[in-house]
Amino acid sequence: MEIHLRRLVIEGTKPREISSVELAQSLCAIHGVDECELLVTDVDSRTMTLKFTIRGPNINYAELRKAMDDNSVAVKGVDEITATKVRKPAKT
Amino acid sequence: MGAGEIARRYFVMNAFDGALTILGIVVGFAISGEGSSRHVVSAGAGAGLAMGISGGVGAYMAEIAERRQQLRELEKHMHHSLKGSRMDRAIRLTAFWVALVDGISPAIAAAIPIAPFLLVGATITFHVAVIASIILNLVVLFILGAFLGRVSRGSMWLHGVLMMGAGGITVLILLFASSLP
Repeated sequence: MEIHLRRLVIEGTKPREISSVELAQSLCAIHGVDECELLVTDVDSRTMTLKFTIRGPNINYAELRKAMDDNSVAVKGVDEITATKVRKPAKT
Repeated sequence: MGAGEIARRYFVMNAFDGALTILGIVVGFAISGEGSSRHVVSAGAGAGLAMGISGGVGAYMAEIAERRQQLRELEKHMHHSLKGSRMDRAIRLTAFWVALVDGISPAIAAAIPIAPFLLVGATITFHVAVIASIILNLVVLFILGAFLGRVSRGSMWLHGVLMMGAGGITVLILLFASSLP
């Protein structure tokens, strides 16, 4: 039996120089991620605050955080999590 | 300011420096009457190399210091370290790119007007090389000015002539200085 992360809602801040489109593409390329939604919630002269909604059958959280760090995203917090129990099919 | 914009600015500024320096060297040797083509080539190549190294190293150090300062301020604003991130890596890449442009531009601008002196003895005389070098130098200055005109979406001809005028004034000042007792 395994626990899979299927949905995460993360709040983070990124510098304005980092493209939101490239950021979404980079996060969507992560193993186990099928869909990535970015919602801009606040903007100031230097940064943008975003709500990231990540969906997938088995989100690799470590890889996701690494990609966010690499794209200069400061994670403020994980607001929502959906995790599911996946049972391996019994051997016959 | 983007790397392309900074590199463009450095390119014009340093190419202008390179061209005017060589113009000064060539006219200086021509006025003194003591120079040979070998002297002009050596002095020009030396000046071009020194300007290239000075420009490249200076631009790299200045650019990286300025951008690191901006990154530190951004980190303070975000309450988050950006070490090793895309922003951090981009600083080094931008500084390297700007330094490369800054280093190469005076060398290119210097190499073109020096070229006629390489033909002295084989096909042309020293005096012909001096005239050819001055003309080539003015052409380089005109092209730099026209490039600026294109960037600013102004008149390429006007900017070209203004830049060439700076070269012309340099020659006139040198000629005037040489006529003083």
